[in-house]
Parts: sequence; structure tokens; C-alpha cells
Amino acid sequence: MLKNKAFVRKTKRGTVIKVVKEHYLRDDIYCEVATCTKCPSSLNAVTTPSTTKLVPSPHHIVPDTNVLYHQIDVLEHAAFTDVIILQTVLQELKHRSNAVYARARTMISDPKRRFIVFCNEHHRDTYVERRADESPNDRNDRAIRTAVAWYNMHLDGKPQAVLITDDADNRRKAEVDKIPAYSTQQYVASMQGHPDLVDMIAAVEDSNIAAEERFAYPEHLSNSQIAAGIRSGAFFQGKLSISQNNYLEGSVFAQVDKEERTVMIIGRKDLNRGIHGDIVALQMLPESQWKRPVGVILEEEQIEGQKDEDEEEKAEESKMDVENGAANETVPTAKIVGIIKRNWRPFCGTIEKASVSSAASGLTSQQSVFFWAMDKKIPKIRIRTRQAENLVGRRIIVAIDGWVRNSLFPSGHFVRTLGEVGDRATETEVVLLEHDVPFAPFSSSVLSFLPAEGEDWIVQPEHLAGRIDFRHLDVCSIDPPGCTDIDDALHCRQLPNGNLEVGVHIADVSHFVKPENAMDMEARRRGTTVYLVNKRIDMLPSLLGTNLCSLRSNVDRLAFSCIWEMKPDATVVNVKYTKSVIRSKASLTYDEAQMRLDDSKLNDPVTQGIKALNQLAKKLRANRMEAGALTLASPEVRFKLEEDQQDPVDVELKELKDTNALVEEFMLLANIWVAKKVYEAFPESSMLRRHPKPPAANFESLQKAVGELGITLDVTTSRALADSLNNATTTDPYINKLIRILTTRCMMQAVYFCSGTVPESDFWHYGLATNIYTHFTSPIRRYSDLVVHRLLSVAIGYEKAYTSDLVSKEKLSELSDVLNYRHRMAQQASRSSVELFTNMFFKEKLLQEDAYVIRVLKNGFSVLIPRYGIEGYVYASLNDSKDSSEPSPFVYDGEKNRLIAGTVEIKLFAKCSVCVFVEEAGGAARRSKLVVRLCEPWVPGVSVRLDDIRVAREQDQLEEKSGKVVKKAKRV
Amino acid sequence: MSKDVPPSINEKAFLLSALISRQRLDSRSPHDIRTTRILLGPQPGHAEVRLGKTRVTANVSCEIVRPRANAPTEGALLFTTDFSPMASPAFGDGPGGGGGSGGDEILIARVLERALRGSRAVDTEGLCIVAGEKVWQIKVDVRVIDHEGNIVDCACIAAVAALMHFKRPDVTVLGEDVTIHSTSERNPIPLTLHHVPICVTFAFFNQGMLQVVDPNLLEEQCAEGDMTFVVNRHGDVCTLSKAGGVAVEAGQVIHCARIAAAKAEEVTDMIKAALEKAAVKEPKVAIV
Repeated sequence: MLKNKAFVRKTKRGTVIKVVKEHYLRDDIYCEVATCTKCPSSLNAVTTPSTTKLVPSPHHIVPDTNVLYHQIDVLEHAAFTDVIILQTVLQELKHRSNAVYARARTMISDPKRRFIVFCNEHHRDTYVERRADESPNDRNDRAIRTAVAWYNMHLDGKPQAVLITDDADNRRKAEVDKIPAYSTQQYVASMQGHPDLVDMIAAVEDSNIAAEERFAYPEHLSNSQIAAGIRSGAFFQGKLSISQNNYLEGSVFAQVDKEERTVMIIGRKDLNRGIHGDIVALQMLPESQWKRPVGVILEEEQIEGQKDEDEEEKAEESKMDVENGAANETVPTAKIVGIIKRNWRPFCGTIEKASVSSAASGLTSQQSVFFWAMDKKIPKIRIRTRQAENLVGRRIIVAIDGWVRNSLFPSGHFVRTLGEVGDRATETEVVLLEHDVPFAPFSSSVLSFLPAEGEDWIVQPEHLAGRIDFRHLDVCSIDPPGCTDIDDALHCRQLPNGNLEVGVHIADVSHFVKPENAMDMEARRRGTTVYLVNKRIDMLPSLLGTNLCSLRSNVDRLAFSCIWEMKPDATVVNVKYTKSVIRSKASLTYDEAQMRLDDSKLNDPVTQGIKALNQLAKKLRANRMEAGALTLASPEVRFKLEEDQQDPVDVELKELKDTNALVEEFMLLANIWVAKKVYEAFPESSMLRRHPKPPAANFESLQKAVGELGITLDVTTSRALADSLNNATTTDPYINKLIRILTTRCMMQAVYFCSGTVPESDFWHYGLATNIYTHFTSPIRRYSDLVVHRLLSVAIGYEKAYTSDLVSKEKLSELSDVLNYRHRMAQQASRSSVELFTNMFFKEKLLQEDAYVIRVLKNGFSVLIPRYGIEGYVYASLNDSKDSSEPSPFVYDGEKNRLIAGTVEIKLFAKCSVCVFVEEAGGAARRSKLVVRLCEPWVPGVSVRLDDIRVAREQDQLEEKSGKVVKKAKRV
Repeated sequence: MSKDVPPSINEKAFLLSALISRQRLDSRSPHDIRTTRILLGPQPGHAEVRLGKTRVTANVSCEIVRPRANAPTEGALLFTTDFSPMASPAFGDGPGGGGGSGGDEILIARVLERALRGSRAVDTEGLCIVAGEKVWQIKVDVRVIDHEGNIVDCACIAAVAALMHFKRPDVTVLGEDVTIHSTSERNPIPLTLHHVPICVTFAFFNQGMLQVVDPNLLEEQCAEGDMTFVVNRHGDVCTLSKAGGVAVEAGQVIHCARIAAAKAEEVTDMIKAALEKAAVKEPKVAIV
């Protein structure tokens, strides 16, 4: 008898085809049970029915596919004989796993075991057709149940056929059909004489359905739904920004109800698979559900180690639990309903060692492992790779592919390896990649725009057209030691009328870099030169930056000059801007220039010039202070590298000398005057720089803290602030510096902007206390200066023709945004590089130093160690990396923002003693961490003693070493 | 259909007697390989290798394709071999080739594939651009120009050198947008090779008692059997191919493996030196 099986399938190519198969059914398939009277006897029949406590009547078991697949080890045990395997089950098994299928086949062909195969697919009474709404899986389950029911009917219950299935749903349905069905666990537990079998059962829950019910993110809305929602005002959009300190807290700066405000998104569900940087669509939560910003530092690594994703969720929630002690108000909170644009980029990081199973056979099998990105704002990523074992302990790059609803983590793929963790070159590359710094070598198209003469380029007579020849002037430059890209040079000479002529000469980069050519585009892309501790990523090819543009001494160079005539009291009488040719007489370092200043015996023109400049600089500075310029401080340190630029030998704080201030003053002066000139010529499209006034709210916590020391900070104007800072003295002189450092952190960022987009009153530069400002003096290392050069050269009439882009408000505004971004990234990259070298410096060291508290949070406090200028975070509880079973001895007082443990109070500016050491980047740790532990004041349960730590570390090292020896032996 | 003329009995006897007294007809010692010349470039991925008079060229190119369904995050590696009649009268222009040599071609192609793809020398996971949609497919075309014995070794060196010399265009993936940069825009990127597999072939004479490394044409035709090792400089044996021929004892196999490892190191150094020389000649790239 013939039947047709028709179904529709999608091929690999994507086309949809209809498959029609012919299927024959027979009447002559026999049940193969020896005791059956209706069927002829067969050679391989099952003979001996089993009895167990659970099923006392004689029966044969019929396992379903999952049982046969997962519990093959159990079934292979000699205790199982006379088992009926259905054809459906065997076929499904073959599709699932060839290996297990082979094992099942071996069992079946063993005559002693008496496993029979019943061809229920071809038996007329047990064939089952797929119903329209049924999934293939369900159809197979139904076929199995039908076959078992048929057996029971055919044999009249003597012996019985018993279905063994671990799927609770299947068992339920079997019960409805009056088919005896049990789970493996139940059945095996009841088997007499074989208690050990129970242990062999593999623990497989029907995790598929349960997991999906257990965890799924809300669905994302489609693009059209989002668009409709935004139009109607139900949703709003913004760029998601995840908090640096808490990976479950995100914020968006968006327009809500016509107002620009910061909206928070808190918790995994609300974040709904949004990744830092994505453009997302949000729906505001009702006010009753608004949350408070959680004042903790939460790192995903702390939650790491939980194998079960479920547990991870619970652990996260407990950490985020906000008790109502916090004085923070609730902030508008929203949830993400859809993603408008994904902004994933390739991420650097390492593989989580715990997720790599060494059981995998290495070269051939792919396994899923977890990847930690260096950037703490990015969640763990699941990748499949064959080389997992090789990749542990190395920095790799991974790109995200997608994030489905029912997965706690996004999935991605491996891109390439960078090198070993901790290796200096690798870590430097990671810093650059993570801060989106383009550092690839300049391409051939960029280099094609360099002057053809290359290194042999010299100033020719034709270059003098339109320029003033200043080669006879005693120009000199003052720069840090080892500086090769000299942007600026100065000169000063006495005029017959008693006034002084001061000149600031800046490298004429716009002569070499013409607008819109490949080199210009690449420089625009880079935005700025990035300075790392051991490396410098140039914005322009070094032929220009360190040679042709650089104002080296004793060689003719093109420059853009700003010449003032000043009275001895530094009042400007007139100003002139011109392109020029100069010949610097001396390239001095700050120290050399300082020595010349201090040496009263030297009287050569250059030294005279410097001395005159110094006098003027002092007056200029005094004027600025009068106007309210701020002198803030930063704990900047400089690393003394060994000769070969390798390991940091010592760390020293940067000191400011007179000559630093000298150069600074004249650079500021030039920038201010050029800003004025350019704005005059291009009121709508000048590239300027402003520093917005910080809102008073930024200073609140600082003011409260210094109030306790008896100091008041008047933040109404910058002058008032400067005066308050000068008067903020206590017994400890470092406190003043500390207050300045903390004030710096309350400041807003200075930004580039296009003059036409902002009202003139907002041009104010708060920190420098000037009405208008721009960047002009460093075109070799900043693109904005190059733009200003181009604007100025049109303004003075040197350049007759210019592109429309130069004066387009929109283009300039866009460019400002890009440059601001690059500038920020470059700063962060520098800081990361310093952190990297700090960790390298502290490697193997264990030190105890004085420190000051600079920030207090719920679960710990930040300290600044003045000697090295580094910051660290001290957790309030020693066990913060694991689930702390012991509560912290500290209690957080939200009102006064301090941590109290008995008589010890940790508050801002408190002085304490800490010990510092580096914890290597082992296991899941992304990078080696600088660990700071409190030594004094002594708080039991938190404070440690230096010697105890030393002993513990030595022990750890011994253990590691002995572990390493074992490993080495294995390799050979 | 022209076949290669087999050597005369006299020649065979002369060769064998010379070998028995540990002398090869081209005055090499039994474990010496012929003078190797590796020429790279000018375009990236092109290599020509001369092993004595045997000449093989390899050319590497890349293309973006859809990945296989069962390996969505891996790129593809494709090999084609071409034994043109210009290399030897033994190679015919039909699929059957010149009699027995037809089988050799397939064997050589198979050894090459096994050596480079099977040993996972090229990192295919790094060739993924967008998982499940776009991956790089690297195609290696090996052409035999001249057959003077031991094509396998020569082809392998050529293929490996070409792969190491090749540079693919740079790609940027931001969110779901993929941009492929031209070579003048952004410098192209070399492939990642985990290790460098080198073929070393032995030919056996005198009932398998004598073995020589890198047989030339005459030695190949007179040999009783041959065995090819694919090893890298770390001493890992990636492939061992012995198709027919005289039986060889296990001890001898191990001995040959050791010799092969030493030769592999030599050849790897040669390839690296050639790559460095080629890098110097390339258009100047500013050192940042």
C-alpha cells in the first residue's frame, strides 16, 4: 500500500522546494516478541520480559530518542536486555549523532542483548502522518506513542510495552492515551539488583523548553513600529552609554518632552540587549518605577564564575539592590524597546579561562567559549572556535554577530590574535584599538602627496613670495627633551621706541597639506597626534612632522608668524599676522632655557630674548590671574624609561618651571589674538574653542567636603574660584593640591565649535578666563590648528582661493564633533597607557604609601597616592570579588557621604595608609589590576598588614611555580 | 599521446651503483636538497620557486563568498594545480595525461591540499567578515612550469611562500556595515599562518635500504618507492604520504622523519629570508 509524504523545504541557497516522497506500508511486519501468538516466530525476538518494583508485571521497555541519545551509557549496561527500539527512534538518533547511532547499532546486533528494531514507520497500523500544525518532533513523539499503544493492544498487555521518556510533556500525553510511561530516573531507580545504574544517568533536564521560558529578553520592535512610536511621542531615541563603573546601568542623553535630559536605563531586562554606542529607541517608564542611580562600582568580573546563567542573574540583582539609605533622588528611567542602529566594532580582550573545556580534542572540534572585552562596558560575548586552548592567555579581537532573545549573552566570532597578555607591544596595540586610534602606517596614496624632493626639500626663492623674511631674527624654540616635532618658536627684540617686538612663529603646515587630498583626509581622520608613554602615533607622516614642518634650528623653515609690538608692561600696541621664513638659532629644552635665564653672565641675543620674554610672560600671567584664570593641578607623572625605552625605572611627578610658563603664556596669547582675527573675518564659520562654565551642582559634594575643613569654595565666577583655591590652606599643604585636583574633575570639557552655531556670549573660556579662544599653535599634532591656519591665511589675504567647505557652517560643525571625539579618545588612550606602565612598574613590587581619600561610594572609596600620582579603589569588604558571606564592617552614610566602621570614619580628604600591589591578569581578569588595600586606619575585616600580604604573595608565587614545572614536563 | 621515455637499463644500473657507494650523479650528498631559489612578487601572493631545474609557480588571490553552512565563522581555502604539458612530455593535455603520470598529478595535488589545508596552517577563523554571510575565500593556483623531479616539494614551497607573501584588502565592520578598502586607501593585511609546513620527499633504492632527499627526475624514475613528509620547523609531522612503492621499515621512517625536520628548518629559513628581501624592495611605507 502506498502513501505519499509531501512537505516543503528551504534549501541551502534559500530557494523553497516541495519534496514529495512515496512511502510504502506493509502488513507483514511482526512484533518480534517471542510469546506473541499472532506473529510467526522470529530469530531475534525479545524473550524475557523484565520486572521492576515500579512495573511489577512483565514488560519490555521502549526508549524514546532523547533517552537513547543521552542515556546510551546506561542502556549499554548489561542489565538492559530485551528492549524494543522503534524505527522512528533509530532514525532520529542517526540524524542527531552518528557516533551514538553506531553504538546503538552495535548493541542491537549483539545477540546476547536481544534488542530488536520494530519498523513502526512501515507498519500499516503504527504509521503516523504529520498533522498540519505539528512540528516534526511532535510528530515523531506521537509516532512513538502510537507504536507503544499498538504493542499493548497487540500483546493484550502480556507482556506490556512501557515507554521510557524524559520529556514530561510526552509522559503527560502518554498518560492521556493510557500508555505506561516513566522517566529514566524513575525506571532505573526501581530496577532491582543494579543500584549503581542510578549514578550513571546523565543529568539532562528537558532544558530546551524550560530555558526559554526561564529567560528571554523582551522582543525588539520592528523599524516601522519604532518610527511610528517616535512620531507619536510614545518613544524617543538616543545613543546608549553604559556606565564605566556599572555595566548594568546605562544612560541616554536625549530630548524628552522638549527638554534635553539624561535618562537612565537600569538592569538587564530594561537594557534589552543594547550595547554601548548603539542608537536605541526607548520608552519612558511610569514615574512610580523610576529608580535611583545605584552608587556602587559593579564589575562583571565579580559576577563571573557562575556557570549557570540563571545564577548570574540572581547575583547581579543582589548587588544592585539599592537600600533606601541613599540620598539620591529618583531619576527618569526608561526601557529599551528597539534598536535603531547597531554600532558594534571589533573588540579586544581575552577568553574566559573557566569556559574553556580541556576535554575538547583541540584541532577539530569547535567549542563555545566566553570572551571578555577590555572595555568594561561591553558584556561577555560567546564565540565558537577551534583554537580555544591556544587563545587562552592571549589578547584577541572578536566581532559581535548578533544577540538573540533567549541568550543571556551576544554571540560573535574570532577575528585575529594580537599577542600575549602582558606583552608590552600587545598591550600598547590594545590601548590604541580600544580607543579607536587609527595607527596603521600611512598608505601609499597618502605618501604620494609628500613633496617629491623628500628629505632634500629646502626653502627655495619662489617660496618667499607673499612671505616676510625673518631669517635674520634670533628665533629660538623651547620644548621638552627629545622633542622632534617642533611646532613653535619665539623671538623678542627691543625696538627703537622702547617697546618690544615679540614674535610667535608656528610651523606652516598648511603649505604642505593642501585641502581635500588624501593626506589631508587621513589627518582629519586621525584628528590629533596620540602620545602614549612609549610610542607616538603621528597625525602627519614623519617627513613633515619631524623634518620639513618642524622648526629645527639652523635650517630655513616656512612659518606662520604672529608679531606683536608690546609696551614693557605687556600691553599690546599693535599686531601683525604674516606668513614667513625663519631660521631658528637654537632648539632648547626647558631645562636649558631655564639655565640661560638663571645665568646672569650670558648675554647673547637668544638669551637676552628669553630673559625679555620671561619678564613679559610674568606680566601676562598676572593679568590673566586678575581676570580669573584658573591654575588647576593634575597628578601627572612621567615615567623614566631605561635607555632602550623598555621598562619604567622610576616615576616622577612633572614639575613646572618658569620656562614652561613662558612658552605657555605666549602660546595662549597667540591663540587668543588669532581667534579674534579669524572671527573678525569669518563670523559664521570660524573654528574656535570654548570651555563652558561648570554648573554649580558639579561642585556640591566637593563644597560640602571642604566645608568640613573650614574652607569655602566660591564658584560664582572663575575669579572667585581661583581666589578661594588660593586661600584654601590647611595644615597639610598637599590638601590644597588635592582640592585643585578634585576641582579639575568638576570642570566641563573644553570643546571645539563652529562660531556660527553658538551665541557669542557662550564663546567664553572658563578656565583661561578669555572671551574668545582657539587652537593655532600646534598644527603638526592637531588638525583643528591646521583648519585655523587655513582660515587665517585667507583672512590676511595670503591665500586667494579656498574651498567652500572651509567656510561651510555645517561642515565645520561636523568636523568639530569629530575632532572633539578624537581628542577625548587620545586623552583616554594616554591615560590607559600610563595605567599600563604603572602596572608594569608595580609588578613584583609591594609598597605601603600615604594616600588621600578622594571619593566615597557605597561599596568602597577611591584614594590618590601622591608619591606616584596614581589612584586606586579600596573595597569596603575584603571579599568583594566573591559573594561576600560576611557583611562589610563599614556602614555607608548617604547624607554625609562617608563610610563608618566603629570609630573610624572614611571621608573626603581623609589621610590614610594603603598598600599597593599588582594582581596579574589571570583567569578572567582583563588586565593586571592595581590592588589597593587599606592598612591604616585599622579596621578589622578590611585592613591588612603589609607583611601578611607579602607572605601570602610569596606563597602564591611558590604554588604557581610548582604548577608551572608540572606543565613544562608534560610538553616535552 | 606522448609519454616520458623511461631511463635505460644502463642508466639505472649506473645510478644504483653510484648510490650504493654513497654518491649521487649530481654530486650531492644523499641528504642534500638542490639549490633553491625563491622569487616573490612583484604583486603580493605571487611566488616562483626553482628547486634545481624544477620550476613551480604559485599565485594567491582572494574573493568574498558566503561561508559554508556548517562553519559560518570560517573562511575558505581553495587549491588548484595545473600540470601543463610544457613542464614535461609526461603531462598530456587530456585528463588521462600521459599514462601512469595521470595518477601522479592527482597524488601531488592531494598531498599539497593535505599539507596546507589539513594541517590548518592558514588561520581560517580570521577570514570571517560577517558570520554566516561574508568570508574571504583564498585561492591558491599552483602551476608546474618545469619538471625535473620532486614537484611536490617545490610546489609546497611555492604555495607556502605565496601564502606568506600575500596580503588581502583591509575591511572595516561597523555595526552591520562592511567597507572594503582598496590597497591604496589602506595598506593590505597579510594572512595569519599558524605554522609553516614544508614537504620533504625521500626516494628509496636498493630494496629500500638507501634513501635520498629531493630526488631529481632521473632518480625519481629509477626509484623503487618514495615517501613524502610534511613537517614544520617545530618538528610536528603534519602529513606522511607513502603511496605504493617498496616497503620501508618503521625505524627508517623515524630516521627519515628526523632528517625531514632538519630540512624543514633550512627551507623555512630560506623562505623567511626571501620574504624579507621582497619586503625591502616594496614601495616605501613610512615607519610611524
